[in-house]
Amino acid sequence: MEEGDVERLDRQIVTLRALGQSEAAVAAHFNISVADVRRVIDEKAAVALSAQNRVRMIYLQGLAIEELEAIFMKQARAGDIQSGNLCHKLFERKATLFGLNAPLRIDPIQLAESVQGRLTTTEQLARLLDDIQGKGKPVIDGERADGS
Amino acid sequence: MASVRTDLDAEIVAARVAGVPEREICRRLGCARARVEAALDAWAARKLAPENVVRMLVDDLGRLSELERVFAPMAAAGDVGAAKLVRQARRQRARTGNLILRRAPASRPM
Repeated sequence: MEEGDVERLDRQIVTLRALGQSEAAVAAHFNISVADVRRVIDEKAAVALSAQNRVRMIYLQGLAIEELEAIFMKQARAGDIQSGNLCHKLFERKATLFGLNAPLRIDPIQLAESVQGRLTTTEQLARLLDDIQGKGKPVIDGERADGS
Repeated sequence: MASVRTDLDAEIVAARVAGVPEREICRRLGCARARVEAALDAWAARKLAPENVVRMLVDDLGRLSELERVFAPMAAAGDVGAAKLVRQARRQRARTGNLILRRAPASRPM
Protein backbone atom coordinates (compact mmCIF):
# COMPACT_ATOMS: atom_id res chain seq x y z
CA MET A 1 0.00 0.00 0.00
CA GLU A 2 1.36 3.45 -0.94
CA GLU A 3 1.77 6.31 1.53
CA GLY A 4 -1.16 8.22 0.05
CA ASP A 5 -3.41 5.16 0.39
CA VAL A 6 -2.38 4.68 4.01
CA GLU A 7 -3.15 8.34 4.74
CA ARG A 8 -6.55 8.01 3.06
CA LEU A 9 -7.36 4.85 5.00
CA ASP A 10 -6.32 6.53 8.28
CA ARG A 11 -8.55 9.48 7.50
CA GLN A 12 -11.51 7.19 6.77
CA ILE A 13 -10.96 5.37 10.07
CA VAL A 14 -10.93 8.66 11.99
CA THR A 15 -14.00 9.89 10.13
CA LEU A 16 -16.01 6.77 10.91
CA ARG A 17 -15.01 6.94 14.59
CA ALA A 18 -15.95 10.62 14.66
CA LEU A 19 -19.32 9.70 13.21
CA GLY A 20 -19.85 7.43 16.19
CA GLN A 21 -19.07 3.98 14.83
CA SER A 22 -17.55 1.65 17.41
CA GLU A 23 -13.92 0.54 17.17
CA ALA A 24 -15.06 -3.01 16.48
CA ALA A 25 -17.36 -1.87 13.66
CA VAL A 26 -14.61 0.22 12.07
CA ALA A 27 -12.15 -2.67 12.38
CA ALA A 28 -14.64 -5.04 10.75
CA HIS A 29 -15.39 -2.51 8.00
CA PHE A 30 -11.73 -2.26 6.95
CA ASN A 31 -10.85 -5.85 7.88
CA ILE A 32 -8.21 -4.75 10.39
CA SER A 33 -7.78 -5.32 14.13
CA VAL A 34 -9.19 -3.10 16.89
CA ALA A 35 -5.59 -2.42 17.95
CA ASP A 36 -4.92 -0.99 14.48
CA VAL A 37 -7.92 1.31 14.79
CA ARG A 38 -6.70 2.52 18.20
CA ARG A 39 -3.16 3.05 16.87
CA VAL A 40 -4.45 5.23 14.03
CA ILE A 41 -6.63 7.28 16.41
CA ASP A 42 -3.71 7.71 18.84
CA GLU A 43 -1.38 8.83 16.07
CA LYS A 44 -3.87 11.36 14.74
CA ALA A 45 -4.67 12.62 18.24
CA ALA A 46 -0.98 13.13 19.03
CA VAL A 47 -0.68 15.38 15.98
CA ALA A 48 -3.98 17.22 16.43
CA LEU A 49 -3.41 17.87 20.12
CA SER A 50 0.26 18.83 19.91
CA ALA A 51 1.31 22.08 21.58
CA GLN A 52 1.95 23.72 18.22
CA ASN A 53 -1.48 22.78 16.90
CA ARG A 54 -3.12 24.13 20.04
CA VAL A 55 -1.36 27.46 19.56
CA ARG A 56 -2.58 27.56 15.95
CA MET A 57 -6.10 26.74 17.09
CA ILE A 58 -6.08 29.50 19.72
CA TYR A 59 -4.78 31.96 17.16
CA LEU A 60 -7.41 31.04 14.57
CA GLN A 61 -10.25 31.09 17.07
CA GLY A 62 -9.06 34.47 18.29
CA LEU A 63 -9.15 35.83 14.75
CA ALA A 64 -12.60 34.38 14.12
CA ILE A 65 -13.87 36.00 17.32
CA GLU A 66 -12.37 39.34 16.33
CA GLU A 67 -14.11 39.16 12.96
CA LEU A 68 -17.44 38.61 14.67
CA GLU A 69 -16.69 41.41 17.12
CA ALA A 70 -16.03 43.82 14.28
CA ILE A 71 -19.43 43.01 12.76
CA PHE A 72 -21.57 43.02 15.88
CA MET A 73 -19.88 45.85 17.77
CA LYS A 74 -21.25 48.25 15.14
CA GLN A 75 -24.79 47.07 15.84
CA ALA A 76 -24.18 47.13 19.59
CA ARG A 77 -23.02 50.75 19.34
CA ALA A 78 -26.35 51.50 17.68
CA GLY A 79 -28.12 50.14 20.77
CA ASP A 80 -28.97 46.58 19.69
CA ILE A 81 -29.06 44.55 22.92
CA GLN A 82 -28.76 41.18 21.17
CA SER A 83 -25.56 42.33 19.51
CA GLY A 84 -24.35 43.78 22.80
CA ASN A 85 -24.91 40.47 24.53
CA LEU A 86 -23.14 38.63 21.74
CA CYS A 87 -20.17 41.01 21.94
CA HIS A 88 -19.98 40.48 25.67
CA LYS A 89 -19.96 36.71 25.13
CA LEU A 90 -17.23 37.13 22.53
CA PHE A 91 -15.08 39.21 24.91
CA GLU A 92 -15.61 36.59 27.57
CA ARG A 93 -14.67 33.75 25.24
CA LYS A 94 -11.59 35.58 24.02
CA ALA A 95 -10.47 36.34 27.56
CA THR A 96 -10.83 32.66 28.45
CA LEU A 97 -9.06 31.58 25.27
CA PHE A 98 -6.06 33.83 25.89
CA GLY A 99 -6.01 33.29 29.66
CA LEU A 100 -6.91 36.89 30.37
CA ASN A 101 -9.42 36.27 33.12
CA ALA A 102 -7.95 36.94 36.52
CA PRO A 103 -8.84 34.17 38.97
CA LEU A 104 -11.55 35.06 41.44
CA ARG A 105 -9.92 36.41 44.58
CA ILE A 106 -10.48 33.93 47.34
CA ASP A 107 -7.96 34.25 50.12
CA PRO A 108 -8.10 31.18 52.39
CA ILE A 109 -6.37 33.07 55.23
CA GLN A 110 -8.92 35.87 55.15
CA LEU A 111 -11.71 33.30 55.02
CA ALA A 112 -10.32 31.52 58.11
CA GLU A 113 -9.99 34.85 59.92
CA SER A 114 -13.53 35.90 59.11
CA VAL A 115 -14.85 32.56 60.39
CA GLN A 116 -12.76 32.89 63.54
CA GLY A 117 -13.83 36.49 64.01
CA ARG A 118 -17.51 35.55 64.09
CA LEU A 119 -18.33 35.13 67.80
CA THR A 120 -21.53 33.81 69.28
CA THR A 121 -23.48 36.13 71.57
CA THR A 122 -22.34 34.03 74.57
CA GLU A 123 -18.72 34.44 73.53
CA GLN A 124 -19.25 38.17 73.03
CA LEU A 125 -20.71 38.48 76.54
CA ALA A 126 -17.88 36.40 78.01
CA ARG A 127 -15.31 38.59 76.27
CA LEU A 128 -17.06 41.74 77.51
CA LEU A 129 -16.98 40.43 81.08
CA ASP A 130 -13.31 39.51 80.68
CA ASP A 131 -12.58 43.03 79.47
CA ILE A 132 -14.40 44.53 82.49
CA GLN A 133 -12.40 42.26 84.78
CA GLY A 134 -9.20 43.24 83.03
CA LYS A 135 -8.67 39.86 81.43
CA GLY A 136 -9.02 41.23 77.96
CA LYS A 137 -6.47 41.42 75.18
CA PRO A 138 -3.13 43.02 75.99
CA VAL A 139 -3.19 46.75 75.22
CA ILE A 140 0.38 46.58 73.99
CA ASP A 141 2.04 43.32 72.99
CA GLY A 142 3.16 41.57 76.16
CA GLU A 143 1.22 43.92 78.43
CA ARG A 144 -2.26 43.43 79.93
CA ALA A 145 -4.86 46.03 80.72
CA ASP A 146 -4.53 45.29 84.44
CA GLY A 147 -0.82 46.05 84.26
CA SER A 148 0.40 42.42 84.50
CA MET B 1 14.79 36.43 12.03
CA ALA B 2 11.60 38.45 11.67
CA SER B 3 8.94 36.70 9.67
CA VAL B 4 7.83 38.35 6.46
CA ARG B 5 4.11 38.32 5.79
CA THR B 6 3.18 37.59 2.23
CA ASP B 7 -0.10 37.65 0.35
CA LEU B 8 0.00 33.88 0.35
CA ASP B 9 0.29 33.90 4.16
CA ALA B 10 -2.71 36.22 4.34
CA GLU B 11 -4.72 33.95 2.04
CA ILE B 12 -3.78 30.90 4.09
CA VAL B 13 -4.80 32.54 7.36
CA ALA B 14 -8.05 33.90 5.93
CA ALA B 15 -8.97 30.47 4.59
CA ARG B 16 -8.22 28.77 7.91
CA VAL B 17 -10.25 31.37 9.83
CA ALA B 18 -13.11 30.68 7.43
CA GLY B 19 -12.82 27.01 8.44
CA VAL B 20 -11.17 25.59 5.33
CA PRO B 21 -9.08 22.50 6.26
CA GLU B 22 -5.33 22.64 5.73
CA ARG B 23 -5.48 19.89 3.10
CA GLU B 24 -7.99 21.87 1.08
CA ILE B 25 -5.88 25.04 1.37
CA CYS B 26 -2.88 23.15 0.03
CA ARG B 27 -4.95 21.99 -2.92
CA ARG B 28 -6.48 25.42 -3.64
CA LEU B 29 -3.28 27.44 -3.28
CA GLY B 30 -0.95 24.79 -4.66
CA CYS B 31 1.39 24.76 -1.69
CA ALA B 32 2.75 22.14 0.69
CA ARG B 33 1.24 21.49 4.08
CA ALA B 34 4.49 22.63 5.71
CA ARG B 35 4.05 26.02 4.03
CA VAL B 36 0.53 26.37 5.46
CA GLU B 37 1.70 25.43 8.93
CA ALA B 38 4.69 27.79 8.73
CA ALA B 39 2.40 30.70 7.80
CA LEU B 40 0.03 29.96 10.68
CA ASP B 41 2.90 29.55 13.14
CA ALA B 42 4.55 32.81 12.14
CA TRP B 43 1.33 34.81 12.44
CA ALA B 44 0.30 33.08 15.63
CA ALA B 45 3.67 33.82 17.24
CA ARG B 46 3.25 37.50 16.48
CA LYS B 47 -0.39 37.68 17.52
CA LEU B 48 0.15 35.81 20.77
CA ALA B 49 3.26 37.73 21.82
CA PRO B 50 2.77 39.08 25.37
CA GLU B 51 2.76 42.74 24.29
CA ASN B 52 0.08 42.04 21.70
CA VAL B 53 -2.06 40.14 24.18
CA VAL B 54 -1.89 43.08 26.60
CA ARG B 55 -2.88 45.45 23.78
CA MET B 56 -5.81 43.20 22.95
CA LEU B 57 -6.81 43.19 26.60
CA VAL B 58 -6.77 46.99 26.73
CA ASP B 59 -8.79 47.17 23.48
CA ASP B 60 -11.39 44.83 24.89
CA LEU B 61 -11.62 46.83 28.10
CA GLY B 62 -12.28 49.88 25.95
CA ARG B 63 -15.03 48.07 24.05
CA LEU B 64 -16.62 46.88 27.28
CA SER B 65 -16.66 50.48 28.49
CA GLU B 66 -18.27 51.43 25.21
CA LEU B 67 -21.01 48.83 25.74
CA GLU B 68 -21.59 50.29 29.19
CA ARG B 69 -21.83 53.82 27.81
CA VAL B 70 -24.39 52.75 25.20
CA PHE B 71 -26.56 50.58 27.41
CA ALA B 72 -26.34 52.29 30.81
CA PRO B 73 -28.84 55.03 29.84
CA MET B 74 -31.23 52.36 28.53
CA ALA B 75 -30.81 50.44 31.80
CA ALA B 76 -31.47 53.60 33.77
CA ALA B 77 -34.66 54.04 31.76
CA GLY B 78 -35.85 50.62 32.97
CA ASP B 79 -34.72 48.25 30.21
CA VAL B 80 -34.02 44.95 32.00
CA GLY B 81 -32.03 43.47 29.11
CA ALA B 82 -29.79 46.52 28.97
CA ALA B 83 -29.32 46.40 32.75
CA LYS B 84 -28.22 42.76 32.58
CA LEU B 85 -25.81 43.56 29.80
CA VAL B 86 -24.31 46.48 31.74
CA ARG B 87 -23.90 44.28 34.80
CA GLN B 88 -22.18 41.55 32.76
CA ALA B 89 -19.92 44.05 31.03
CA ARG B 90 -18.91 45.52 34.39
CA ARG B 91 -18.22 42.08 35.79
CA GLN B 92 -16.08 41.12 32.80
CA ARG B 93 -14.24 44.46 33.00
CA ALA B 94 -13.54 43.84 36.66
CA ARG B 95 -12.15 40.39 35.94
CA THR B 96 -9.84 41.45 33.13
CA GLY B 97 -9.01 44.78 34.81
CA ASN B 98 -8.06 42.92 37.94
CA LEU B 99 -5.52 41.01 35.90
CA ILE B 100 -3.91 44.26 34.77
CA LEU B 101 -3.77 45.50 38.36
CA ARG B 102 -2.19 42.25 39.45
CA ARG B 103 0.39 42.39 36.73
CA ALA B 104 1.23 46.06 37.19
CA PRO B 105 3.42 45.83 40.34
CA ALA B 106 5.64 43.19 38.76
CA SER B 107 6.46 45.50 35.85
CA ARG B 108 7.30 48.47 38.11
CA PRO B 109 10.80 48.75 39.53
CA MET B 110 10.67 48.48 43.31
